[in-house]
Amino acid sequence: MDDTELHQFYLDLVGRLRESGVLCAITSGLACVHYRIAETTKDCDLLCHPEGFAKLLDVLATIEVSGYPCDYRGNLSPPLDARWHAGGWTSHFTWGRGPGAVTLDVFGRALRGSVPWENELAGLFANQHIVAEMKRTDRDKDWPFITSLGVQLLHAGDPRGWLHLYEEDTVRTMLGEYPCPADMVARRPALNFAVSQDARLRGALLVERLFWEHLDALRIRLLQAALRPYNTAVRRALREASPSLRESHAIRLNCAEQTLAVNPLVDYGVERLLEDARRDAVVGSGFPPEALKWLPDCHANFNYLLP
Amino acid sequence: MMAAPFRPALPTPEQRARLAEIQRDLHERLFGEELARVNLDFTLAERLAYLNWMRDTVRRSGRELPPSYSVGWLLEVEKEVEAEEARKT
Repeated sequence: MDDTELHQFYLDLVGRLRESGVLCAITSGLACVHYRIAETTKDCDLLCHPEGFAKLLDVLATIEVSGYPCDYRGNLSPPLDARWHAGGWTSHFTWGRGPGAVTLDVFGRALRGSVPWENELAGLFANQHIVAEMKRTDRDKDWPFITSLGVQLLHAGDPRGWLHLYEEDTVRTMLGEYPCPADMVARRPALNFAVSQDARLRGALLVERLFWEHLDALRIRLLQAALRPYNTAVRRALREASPSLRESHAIRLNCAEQTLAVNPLVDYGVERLLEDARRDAVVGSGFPPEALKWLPDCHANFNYLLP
Repeated sequence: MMAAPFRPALPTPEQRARLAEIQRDLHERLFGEELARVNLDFTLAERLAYLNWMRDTVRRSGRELPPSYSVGWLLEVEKEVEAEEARKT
């Protein structure tokens, strides 16, 4: 499949799921391509409400691509089950193997989403606010995308765009075009420096980005540690077996029940996680302690981990 | 009496031109001139074809495309477990 066919495949899949009553939306890289910010990924990240997981699995089991049935991706994917997705796990599917494989990554929760993604849809896609929040990763390439999405939100009249600008020049340009409401400044202390024309704006934007990067790196470290025993268990259970998607799902559920912590981030403690990231971003990066006050309160971005 | 329908004020042609200029400056600064054109001047089909060409070019040069961010860290675990099992056997 070339990119055009692949894009249409994912749109058709979401359309079919929606017709079956499954609440879902495309996010991340493919959403960026849709929003006129080209990203080279060809994998589809799909937000899917956990109530629709059973139907999603039914639909995936019926779809073949170039003769390949759908399967979980390797031994690495947690099961498509609401219990684990509530803990921020994701499930990964593939049709075929190698560079030509068609893949689907399913998110039951919008990682770092501060508002319910179900209320933030734009056609078959998550809107720019959700995509931008989900892109606050420890990967350099994501940050220009976030800023660009923020600008689009402001152009569309959504003041939440102010929460997503991470480039100093862009913040200053946007201030010349749109007012920065007090509630956005309250949510994001770095904006104080923008509205008061304070030179510390650059440092405040940088430390905030470092904070999000450290948060994501910590999240990944905790999940990786929790995943190892599960990965080993799935590897053993699937050895020399070629199960169908449904059989593979049952095997993974069984392995997960025995070896995969449901919510490693909550087990570690969200407060502790935030504190670690604050310390690493500020003290660990050589910023003065006052920079701790430049960081946003991002508890809402972890509500997705709560029941 | 029924209220008049809400009609948001549309930007004037001058405002639209100004927004387009800001958008282009931003894309050129963040992504470079070529990708700015891909993003702002191409249709969706053209943009997808361009991305397809980019990936093909990478593959033809013998380099491997990195896995998507959503699975990259999971693949690291898979490789570690594989290596550990290989050591044991």
